[in-house]
Amino acid sequence: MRRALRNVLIGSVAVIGTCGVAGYVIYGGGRHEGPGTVHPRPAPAGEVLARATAQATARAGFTPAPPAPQILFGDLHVHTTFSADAFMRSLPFVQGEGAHPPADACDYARFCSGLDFFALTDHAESMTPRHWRESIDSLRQCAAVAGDPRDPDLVPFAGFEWSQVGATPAEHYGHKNVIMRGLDDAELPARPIAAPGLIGQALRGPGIDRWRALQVPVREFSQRQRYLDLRVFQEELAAVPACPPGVDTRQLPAGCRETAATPAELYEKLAQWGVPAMVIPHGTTWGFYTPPGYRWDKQLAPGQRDPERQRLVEVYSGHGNSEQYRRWDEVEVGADGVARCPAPTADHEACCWRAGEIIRGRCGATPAAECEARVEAARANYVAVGVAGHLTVPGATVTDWKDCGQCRDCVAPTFNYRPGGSIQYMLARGDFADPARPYHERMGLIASSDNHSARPGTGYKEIERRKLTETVGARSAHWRDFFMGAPTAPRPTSEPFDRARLAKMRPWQAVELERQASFFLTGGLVAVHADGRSREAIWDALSRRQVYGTSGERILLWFDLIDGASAPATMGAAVAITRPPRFRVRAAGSFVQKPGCPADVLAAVPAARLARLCQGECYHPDDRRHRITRVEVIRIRPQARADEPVDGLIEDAWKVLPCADQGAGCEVEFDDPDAVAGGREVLYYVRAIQEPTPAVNGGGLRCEREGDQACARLTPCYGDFRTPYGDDCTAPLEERAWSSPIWVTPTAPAVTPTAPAVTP
Amino acid sequence: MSARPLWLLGVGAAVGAALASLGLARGPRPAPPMPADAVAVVNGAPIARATYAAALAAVAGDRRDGAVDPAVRQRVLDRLIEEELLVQRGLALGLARLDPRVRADLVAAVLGEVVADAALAPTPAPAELAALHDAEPERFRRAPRLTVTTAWFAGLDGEARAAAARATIVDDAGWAALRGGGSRPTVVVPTGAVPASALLDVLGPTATRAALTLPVGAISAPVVTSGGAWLVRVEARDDGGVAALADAEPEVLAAWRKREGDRRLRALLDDERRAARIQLAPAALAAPVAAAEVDVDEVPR
Repeated sequence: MRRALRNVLIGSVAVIGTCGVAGYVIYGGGRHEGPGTVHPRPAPAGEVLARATAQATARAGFTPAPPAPQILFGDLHVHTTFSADAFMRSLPFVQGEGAHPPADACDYARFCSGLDFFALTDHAESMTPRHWRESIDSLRQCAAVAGDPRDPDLVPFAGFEWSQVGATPAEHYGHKNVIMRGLDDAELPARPIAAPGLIGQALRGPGIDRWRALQVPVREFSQRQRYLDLRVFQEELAAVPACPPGVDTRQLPAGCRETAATPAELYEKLAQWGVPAMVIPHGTTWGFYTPPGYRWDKQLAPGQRDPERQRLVEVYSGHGNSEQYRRWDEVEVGADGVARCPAPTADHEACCWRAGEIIRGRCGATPAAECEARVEAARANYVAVGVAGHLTVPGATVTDWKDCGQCRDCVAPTFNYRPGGSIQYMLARGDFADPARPYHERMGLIASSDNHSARPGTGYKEIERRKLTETVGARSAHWRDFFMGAPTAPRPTSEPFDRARLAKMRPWQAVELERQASFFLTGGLVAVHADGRSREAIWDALSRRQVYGTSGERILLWFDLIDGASAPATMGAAVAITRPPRFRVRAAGSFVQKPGCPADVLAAVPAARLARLCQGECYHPDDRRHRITRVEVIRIRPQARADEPVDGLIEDAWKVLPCADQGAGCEVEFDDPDAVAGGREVLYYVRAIQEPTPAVNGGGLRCEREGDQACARLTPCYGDFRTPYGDDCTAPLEERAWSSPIWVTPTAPAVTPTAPAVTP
Repeated sequence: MSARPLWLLGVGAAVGAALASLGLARGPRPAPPMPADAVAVVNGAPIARATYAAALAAVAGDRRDGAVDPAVRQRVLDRLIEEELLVQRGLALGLARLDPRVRADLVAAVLGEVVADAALAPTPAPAELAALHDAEPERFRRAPRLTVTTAWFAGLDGEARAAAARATIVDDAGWAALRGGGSRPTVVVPTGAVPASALLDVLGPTATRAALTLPVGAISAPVVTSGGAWLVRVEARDDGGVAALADAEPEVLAAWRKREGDRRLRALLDDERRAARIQLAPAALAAPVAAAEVDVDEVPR
């Protein structure tokens, strides 16, 4: 008996021990992923520097000169795997590359894209206090290797993304980056400020249920480490308590999660900190999360606006182009406040309408009246659930949806375009709450990458769609079904969804991940006309709105008012004019790129590091420039009264000026004889258009027109296994640069172009 | 059972009963006096008046009228008391020792304290800064900077015209006249002292390389680019090199503070190690690793 008991005891211990060891091997060992280490060698300033070392004429003939005005390129919208969505994108099951810590961003900017400045803007919603601290430390390391702070090779800025999303247009404000000027503790908030609600829940949530989470390390045993690290990340996130409400941000404990529900709250908290900060809205037309029917209007209202901090807006990113306004909308809101599905026009088909057409196509022999009722129900069901409308048509594929919801005649538009968030709409719309002092936005235009792999400035070469754009997708049907659920079978009727049912779904199932894969681009750039290369010089240029955006190419652009005011002015200025304004535009195309990396980069960075960071391809200019084919001038007369229709105020293109560019750039001038007589403020900005070159996802959904069907057939570029991994889906695209506007007001007091305080 | 254990048991019971009676008779022990600068004491831990005042001020600042009524005062005090209770509970549970997150934050906080102390240290003597500058000169190396002027010759025949023009230049006045009479380029070449990267985006790599290799005052051979040709003259050059101490003083001071922080941290750790009793298991360093780590970056897809 005793022997039997002993054997049972030993057996039990062995089983428990074996299970324990197995459990530890499979599930143990999750770790916090740190910020990485910045490469210690000084950044090369181009291959030419290596050849300069032979010169022994130190300071020959050199007299200290004032900082020289110059164009500097940067990227103010970059995520690392300190953002939860970036972490998810980096996992093996979606063909991710692994961790992309903050130090990678610094080295990418130094060695791959050769930028002059960048900012880290990880989602505040998924940053722990430790992430914030490590991120700042990494940026300080980056600044330390950049050389003389008065004339550094690279200026890193700290920032975070306030990622607000509302389920309805009334609740939605959208995403904004917050960039801080300095890296000293006194110039930084103690913690990033997050938005509560949908995105926060999505970013902090587990993403998959516990049962699946337990299976993944077993199924991906050889690559389990990152899944375990993800769990540690999520546990860290979950452990951060919410900050107590109603307490001044400076009095809050350091280790809590602070939130601001509206722009007004965000601005208030930034004011409490009192540090120099800039707020930059972005993705304003991106329908991936922006509810149909959204408009910028409520952000013009007193309290929700901050013209001192919100001086710039992102017109373009790796998520697409948000520039142009269109009259159509995804839903029509009647006088009764009820949203309805609009009928298609020549340039747009709403997805609610297409939902009806997909159902119509499944009617078969169904009587016409019954079929029509199903079609109507499908449209209504779609409208009722906003961005998750695609769920209402069971079994509908990417190709079934054709190009619904898209801006057909826009260049590289964002997915599921929301015209009410377009830059042109923002600039045209006014707020008249105080009739004596109408308010209009005065924001300079920038572009960014919105990259999620710590790669600032990805647009220099059109390569590696899977790594240099936001494209992700399951590596096999098995993994797609495992995480997203198997595709549903087509059914003859639409399926209504209510918000309660949506709330029970995993967040990534409720949005159109696959369809938008065709819209991801390599990123844009911001360029500043700065008086020197220092942190302060760049910040001042951003504050003055002496900035422009490009679609990723290093196009050079100058846009100046040369007559009409008491003094010349440049982009970003708001001036009074006494005679018709005359403008000059100079633009030079980007340099053609040579393959590989410059010699000094190859010498400075280990080959494996270069291969991982840059994919072996750096910014490596040739002497030839791409040609600028034309300059387009956009004229906008901001609303003079609240009921003035916006679409009549936006003239795009007001003028198209051909360029005779022989490879060295293009210079054109134009004037507006009507500006003074109009008696109202007018703004002008320009687009410099470059000759077409192949671009990743330059063709979007790659629709083929047939008769009156704008998209009879399409060839989507999938993020998952359905498109070969090496297919970059390139198509010709006219890369471009957008100037910031120049605002002119007849006979009003002149305002100097360099004064930051020119906003209303 | 012998009588002795029973006897001992009886004595023990009697002593216990006596002590219990004494305790009941004395009643609760009086609370220690409240520290003057405390607003409350929680299990012996004071909550400072300053902490309470700061919390009240924050709440008041958040209210339009700035008023804080007694109910709010009570709520704020309750919150501070409960926070203290939670801290004590966490310490009692050993979270500072057991929870990896708390441990990490604790370590980071101590490191931050040491670094912050170093940042507040008195400014070092000039000799200390000079020693650091001399010991680690590469940290203070400047990028080369150039001041250039250019002449642009547009068109397919730009190279030939540039070469012909260059051959006629004999002095500064000739160069100035050439520049004045040449084509005006579309791009704006920076006029001041800039690093090579600022020229690269404007002139292109070949012209920038030419500028970097020219002596001051020399004019380059024609550099052909699309649309024409450049002539580049270097007006001034600063080849970078190690900045003098006077020019790099803020950076040297920052580096000194960082080094001082590292030194203080090392000293602290050395002191702690000396004072601590540390036992190492035999062959601890040779113990095998339990599970091999896989670097997913290297996993082929």
